[in-house]
Amino acid sequence: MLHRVLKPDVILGAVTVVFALVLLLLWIPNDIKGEVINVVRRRKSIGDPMAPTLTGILLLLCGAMLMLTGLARPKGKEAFSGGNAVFVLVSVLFLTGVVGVMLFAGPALVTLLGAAEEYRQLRATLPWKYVGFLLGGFVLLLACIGAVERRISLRTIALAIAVPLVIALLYDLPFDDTLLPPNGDY
Amino acid sequence: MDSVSIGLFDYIWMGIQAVFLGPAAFEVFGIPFSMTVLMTLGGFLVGIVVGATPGLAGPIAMAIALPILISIFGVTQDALLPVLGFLIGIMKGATIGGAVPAILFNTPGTPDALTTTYDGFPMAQQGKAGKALRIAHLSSASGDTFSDIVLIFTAPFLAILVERFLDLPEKTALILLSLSFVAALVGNNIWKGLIAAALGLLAAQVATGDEFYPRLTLQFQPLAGGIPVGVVVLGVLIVGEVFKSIEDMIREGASRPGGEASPTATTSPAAQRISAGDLRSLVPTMGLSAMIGTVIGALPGVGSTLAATLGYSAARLRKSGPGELALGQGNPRGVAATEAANSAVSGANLIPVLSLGIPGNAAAVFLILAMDSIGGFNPGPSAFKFTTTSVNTELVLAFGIFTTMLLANGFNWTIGGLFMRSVGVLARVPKHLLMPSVLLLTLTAVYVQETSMTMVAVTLAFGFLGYFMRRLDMSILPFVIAFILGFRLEDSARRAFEATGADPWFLFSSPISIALITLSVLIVIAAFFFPILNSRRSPR
Repeated sequence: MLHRVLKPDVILGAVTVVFALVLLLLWIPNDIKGEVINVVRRRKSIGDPMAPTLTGILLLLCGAMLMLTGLARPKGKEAFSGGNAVFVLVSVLFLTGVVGVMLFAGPALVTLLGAAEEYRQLRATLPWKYVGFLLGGFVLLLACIGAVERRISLRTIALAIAVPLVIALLYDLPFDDTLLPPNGDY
Repeated sequence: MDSVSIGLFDYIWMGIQAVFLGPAAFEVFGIPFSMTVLMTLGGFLVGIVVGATPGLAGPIAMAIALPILISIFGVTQDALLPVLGFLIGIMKGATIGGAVPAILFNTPGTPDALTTTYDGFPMAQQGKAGKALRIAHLSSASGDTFSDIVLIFTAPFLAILVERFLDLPEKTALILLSLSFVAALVGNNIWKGLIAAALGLLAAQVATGDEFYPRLTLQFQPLAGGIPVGVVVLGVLIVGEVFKSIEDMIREGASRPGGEASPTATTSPAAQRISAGDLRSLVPTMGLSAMIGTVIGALPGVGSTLAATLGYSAARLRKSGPGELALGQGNPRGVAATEAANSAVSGANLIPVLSLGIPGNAAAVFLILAMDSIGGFNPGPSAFKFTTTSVNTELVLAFGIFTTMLLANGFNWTIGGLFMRSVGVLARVPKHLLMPSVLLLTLTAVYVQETSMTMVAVTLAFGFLGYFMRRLDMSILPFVIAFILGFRLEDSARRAFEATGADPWFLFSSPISIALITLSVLIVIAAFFFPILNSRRSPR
């Protein structure tokens, strides 16, 4: 593995240098209009690309310095392991699932039960306005607490029901015009 | 007709009135009770609870509270003092609350209470938990009060000096100096600090240019209005910390928090009180620590943990008297040194916020965020512009903020000690139950503000950035402060460039800006060659 051969700071410095080069050579030229210095009727002004370009140069220099100084330092503890990468990957997939449950649970239930109206018309009414948030929150809390405790207890289930409910009531009861997730998206 | 001249005392009086005679929360026998007073009290009590709960910290509570407060109070000028009162209350309460689990369970409730454990827990083991808590409270309230007084006398004058002597190029140079200072002194590697600051600047540059085309958005339409400040700050500061904590807990497994408990056996009630002899011994330590904390607090990016460490180190320099325990073995001076120093940060950290508009730590970031979100008060020199013919409402609000801080101090002196001694049980709340709840609460807070699941996803993305930065030992604070200051830096540079007739060397156009830029470069060089400047050293 690369991180076993190179020191963490060297890898981070190299990644920063690559990112800075992508920013300077690809991102800025293709995603910003105007010049570094705009000239309109012989009047000069700083253009939109100036600040990102200077930021890119700063990143490039600091990344290079981090690489160089990292090479000179004794190898420290591993900064980012394969285990961390697995955690990130699983977390991304899991949170995508949670967001998906929040987004689609309400409309899916409306379709499943054959309600007369669309979810958009029901999104601010009971019980529909809570469906997505409570289900998504339940999955989030159940999985997180269960992963740490390495089991699903009755207490965990109770908490996974109670905490989202308390948060929903905290926002929903005092404010008439507040929309809980995901109801504003419909 | 004679025109009425408004004097300094009129402004101070109006500021006090804005706090005590502002919008009422309720009436008792026809007497209105001020909403700002109520919110400051509420924030202070919440702060103690949060501080006493390991895993939570003042900034987390401020982050969660801010969107709720804005939902409650809206963004009118009447909202500013109640909202700031609540946040200031949390900031002050959390510092004092952090001492509770440190003393009772050898677990610092907040990072800046680590050195409180060194003597506080041994005192508790000797049956003097009550005395240790009283000393922590007395020191915390003293340091806090001292720091607030320094703030009140310093911030307006600093703001006036800035307004009088600093023009656009100098203000640009001052922001650069602040950023290099934060990047150099926070964390343990100057290059990582600068990379974090550069990433913060880059995030601030997304869709904030002058052109119609929203720059750096990768044509992702939801970002065309720029990345909301709350999304970035909550993502990197709170969600990132939650991710890291959950991963750590998954690896370590759930453990009962709170560390080892102190013995329940106590000595006589008299032994739990602070005697006159104790006071004589403690006052010099508290005084020195309060000064250290105030100086550290006034510097951007350094923070209360370093203040506490330096305060404790300074106390160690003084030899223990005959019959006195050494520091680290249950000496009350150790508790006093830490608590006076870390509490003294909470007033002084508003010096750069109010006078320059530059946040110095995470708590200050949320205060600036509140001011930005609500509007009506722009922290910086303009807030202290003294006008005698018409009322400068910002100056009234500035004195209102000072009054709120002193009010929170008053609560600290009167009910703070009693309340902090009653919340020890919170140290037993398992962190693995708290963190997922904090995550859901934070994401809900973002949604309520932005009403878009896309922004929730963007918050999670910044959460992963915060996670990566923590894992790679990069400081979060330079990123956040650079993000907050990024727009001002660019705007100030653009205007300075035009004001100097398109002089590309405008940063070197005056002795003051040359001095500020030179200082920025020297700080970076010093941090590189003398890494001790930015290394975190335990006094143990």
